[in-house]
Amino acid sequence: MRGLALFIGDIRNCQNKDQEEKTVYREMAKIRGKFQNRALSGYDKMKYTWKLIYMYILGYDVDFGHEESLNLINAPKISEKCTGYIATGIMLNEKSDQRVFERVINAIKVDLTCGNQICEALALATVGNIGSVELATQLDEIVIHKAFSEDRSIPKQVRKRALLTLLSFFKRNRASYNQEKWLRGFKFLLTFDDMGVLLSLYSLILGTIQVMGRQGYEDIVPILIEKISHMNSSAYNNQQQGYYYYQTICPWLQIKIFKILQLFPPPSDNGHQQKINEVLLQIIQKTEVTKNVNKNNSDHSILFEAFNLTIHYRQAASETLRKNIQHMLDKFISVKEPNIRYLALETMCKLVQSSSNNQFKIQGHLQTIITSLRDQDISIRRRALDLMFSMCDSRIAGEVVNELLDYLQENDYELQEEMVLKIAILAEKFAENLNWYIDVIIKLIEFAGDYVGEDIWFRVAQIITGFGQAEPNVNLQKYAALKMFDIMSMPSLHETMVKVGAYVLSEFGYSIADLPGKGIPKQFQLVNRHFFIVSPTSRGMLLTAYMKMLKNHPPLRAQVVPLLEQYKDYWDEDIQQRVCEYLAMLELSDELGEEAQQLMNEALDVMPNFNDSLQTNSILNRRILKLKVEKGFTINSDEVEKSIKQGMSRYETNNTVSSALSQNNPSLLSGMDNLNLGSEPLQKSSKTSVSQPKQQQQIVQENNLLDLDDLLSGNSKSNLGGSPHDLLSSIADLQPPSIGGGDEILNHKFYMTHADRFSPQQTIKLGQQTLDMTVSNAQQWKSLLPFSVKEGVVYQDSNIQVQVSIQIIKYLERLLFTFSSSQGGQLSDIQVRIPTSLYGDQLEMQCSPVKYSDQDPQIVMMIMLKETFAVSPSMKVQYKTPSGQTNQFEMRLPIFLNKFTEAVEMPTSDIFVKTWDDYTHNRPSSFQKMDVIFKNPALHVSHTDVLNKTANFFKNGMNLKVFQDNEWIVRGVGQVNFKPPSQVTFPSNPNDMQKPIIAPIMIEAEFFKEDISEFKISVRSNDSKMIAQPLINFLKFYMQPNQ
Amino acid sequence: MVIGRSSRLTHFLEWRDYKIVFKRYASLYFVAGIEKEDNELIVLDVIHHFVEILDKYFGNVCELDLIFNFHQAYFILEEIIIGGFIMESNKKQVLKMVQHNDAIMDEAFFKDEGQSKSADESNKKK
Repeated sequence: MRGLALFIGDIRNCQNKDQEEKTVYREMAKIRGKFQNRALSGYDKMKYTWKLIYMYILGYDVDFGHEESLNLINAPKISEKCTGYIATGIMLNEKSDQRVFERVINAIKVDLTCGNQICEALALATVGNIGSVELATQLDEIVIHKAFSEDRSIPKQVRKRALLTLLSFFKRNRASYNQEKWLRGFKFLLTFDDMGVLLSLYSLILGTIQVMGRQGYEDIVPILIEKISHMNSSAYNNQQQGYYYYQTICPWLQIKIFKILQLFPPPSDNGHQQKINEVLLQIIQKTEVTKNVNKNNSDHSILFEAFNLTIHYRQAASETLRKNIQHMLDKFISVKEPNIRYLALETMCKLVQSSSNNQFKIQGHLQTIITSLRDQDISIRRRALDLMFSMCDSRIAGEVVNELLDYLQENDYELQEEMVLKIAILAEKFAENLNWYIDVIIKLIEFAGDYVGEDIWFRVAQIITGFGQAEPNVNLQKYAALKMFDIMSMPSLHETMVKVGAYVLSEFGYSIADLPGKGIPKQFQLVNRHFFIVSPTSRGMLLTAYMKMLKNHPPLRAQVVPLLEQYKDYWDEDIQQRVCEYLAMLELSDELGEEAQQLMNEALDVMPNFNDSLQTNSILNRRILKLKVEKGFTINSDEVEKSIKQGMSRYETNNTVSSALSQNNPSLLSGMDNLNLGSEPLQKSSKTSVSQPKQQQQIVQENNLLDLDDLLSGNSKSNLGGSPHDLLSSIADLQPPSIGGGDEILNHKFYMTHADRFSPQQTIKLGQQTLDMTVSNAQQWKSLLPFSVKEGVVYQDSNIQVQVSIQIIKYLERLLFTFSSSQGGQLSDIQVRIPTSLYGDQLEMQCSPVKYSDQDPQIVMMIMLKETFAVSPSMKVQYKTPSGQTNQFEMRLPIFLNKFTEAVEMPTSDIFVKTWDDYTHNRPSSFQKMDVIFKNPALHVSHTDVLNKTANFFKNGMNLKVFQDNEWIVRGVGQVNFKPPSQVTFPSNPNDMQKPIIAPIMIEAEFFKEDISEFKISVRSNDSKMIAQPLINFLKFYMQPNQ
Repeated sequence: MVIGRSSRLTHFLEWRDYKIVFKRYASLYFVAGIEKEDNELIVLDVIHHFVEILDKYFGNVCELDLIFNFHQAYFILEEIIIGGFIMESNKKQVLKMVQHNDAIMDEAFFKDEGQSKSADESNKKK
């Protein structure tokens, strides 16, 4: 077809994508026009349809031409029919126009029963490829007849296709399944000699039994064993020569047989078992490595399937067989050929899992496997890691864990997350002594802190604390305290390490307090050094830790109380409440004396043991299962379950561990809450003070009231006046006083005179900046953060420059990073690490592997917004310069809430004002309402200029629709798009994106006539996502940088 | 993912809950997505089987044959695989069917084959 060839030639001559698009769209328009013409010849229809197919496989959306495909199917000429069927098979699917689909089904029905085997074959092939539910329901009957009918006159071309089409139907719709009928069909067809028919039949049998179970199909086993035995006997001489593939008789058929046999238990009949063992042995002994790649592939494909069956048979397989397998796998895991090594690692993993009690001596191969762990191929590395994890037992655990820790330091970011989890599980499972376990976890945090999630360090806390009713393991606690004491004295630590340190020292620090130089004041000092580098949540935890230290060492009060005072009006409600409660506790213990003192001591008592059930049901095992499901690592859940079980039995048998861990107490929740900064630590953590809960609550409430009074009466003045009210000047330096917001706003002069412009229910208090400049790439980051900035340099130093370009669709952000050397040449060995576990609840992050080409290396990072977050995530990068030097740096990513915003079409500002007033006055306080006073950043210019700039920032920085009706006020409206839960994986194209969850943003900047040295910024949003606070912080970051 | 891989690495990639198996012939990549329990090597054989038949059919096949005669490639694929399962592993049988079909199609279909440069085509199968 000349026209088709010309068109393809045209497209291939296109220089770029634009040109190609133009050519395609021009041609599409032309074809659309041609198709209007009813008198189009069959040849032309065919030609145009093929062109459409070509466009379709190039990735263009072709939404017409179905009608013509249908006409072609109905045409008498085979070539037209063929074209029609292929077009239907490729372009038509369940989402297509129902009416056309309906008529296609009718046409297919006609062809299926026309008696011409070519038409029938064509129709069946198409139906089998599409295999929709609709087709299945309508055509089941005909297809089943063609597949199973005992009428031997049905041509085998039709029979083969019917069998596979039936399988394709069965996978989508099981309504027509009838075991009796199918079994009869199977038995009848199993007597066929034709390998083509058998191949299709075996596929159907395999597919059926996989889904429906083997019950009732047991009779098939001996037939298959006979068949495979016959095929492998020397006497076998098949007439159908064409079925030899590189001198091997139909490898596909053999593999199918082995696969089906793996669905059944070993044959109960000894004769059959012996026969299959002989076949397996023959395959295993005879397979040789040859020079022909294809022969190797086919022979080894059978070989590995034979391995699988042998492993499946376990003890039923002969001793010789099992020894042979072990021997061959030993050999294969060190061969160079990557495919074979990959499969050997995978198969060995299966072998280890199926064998009980280390019959297999794999230990000697540890070094070989470690080589594969460092292989350049990620597929092989994954298999090696899984194998090391599976083969680990108490004898080699130490060695395995050390090797993995070594490798962890090499920053293999594709494996990092899984490695951390696996190491944590192995260390716990095989801990001969728990000190070692603690050492391992500490190393994990040190080497890969970003990947050590809460579950891992909670687990350490649980184990150190103890479970159930057992006596606490004092030695362990002391060891942990000493260890953490040393670590906390290091200058910079990962946040998780700080948390562990604070927990351990506050709980068990007393046990080392008598040692010289390790007293509680010193411990406090060490922990407190890290106070300002950790996030607010962790600070809350540290404050609790301080209280516990204070309980053990009352003189600390002089240092702790000022800190607490500092956080009395902190924006974070949890911390604020916690601090107020602690202060109230201290005050009350002064006033009421003994009784209150005792209450406080009980509240701050050492953490009670964790619930017994936690001991065996480790959170880590559950998470690794989840990780598998998410990431699709090829390990089945059996393995995880098995490892959980092994873990359990180990606890039961291993004395050293169980003495430390065996126990029962319902205090799981309280414990975790306290670790995790629950909002009411006072009530929950004091399990012993059941008799006095009421009194405690009173204390808290009173104190909250007092606190509020306090704020309303005096504190706000000092805030707005800017006079220092901080008690510790060192802290004051680090902590800028808040500039309004919260309760203080109600005392502000603007509020007094313009109360109607404010919401009386301030839901959030403004506190500390969450956006700050304390990173290496602060300037670049800040300039990339506004919404409208889509590309630029995100990091630069004397060796490297990182360019980023940003694409945003709703809740999805795609960042393309290009790494170039500042001194010419190309960078290599680039590795990036992103804090997926730290942001697990807020962001879905994923990084592509580094792509090296002639250009500079690039990576693509995808992010989906799940929940509001306060701090932009950072990325760690390690690379090798052209001169071979390895460097690393950390940069903050230009990601913040404003990047996920979108303007909302709102016709007039009247609607805005109406909605705004509704939010302000009528909606409950759970809605986000926030009014903040900003200082005028530029007093020397007119306030309208400031307002214009603000309007501009609303528009470009936050992507809002802006209204500017007069010289006093600007308004912006839009929404933040969040990922809906139904979006499980990253969408591969924009059409795959689900409807986002939206949080509305309404924002106002308003000047008041009487004083233009300050102005008001207000935000309104609903209660679905907490966006107001971060957005205000974002504005503050840009508009009030010096505050 | 596939194109970036060096020839010294495995022909398998683990992707979500699936595996990607691929084989490269000059600048032509054949890619198949399979389930994790499937036999990887036999899938390589399926690919090679397909290529051998293409080779026989076109006579020393090159990518241009496939680009300009992609419809023929589809006809052949339909003779080998249905719904992701191999239907016929007998080369002669497949070729016989294809040639038989060709014979009854009209001549116009095969006239005027064009010519041009090179590119990649990847063929998606189960």
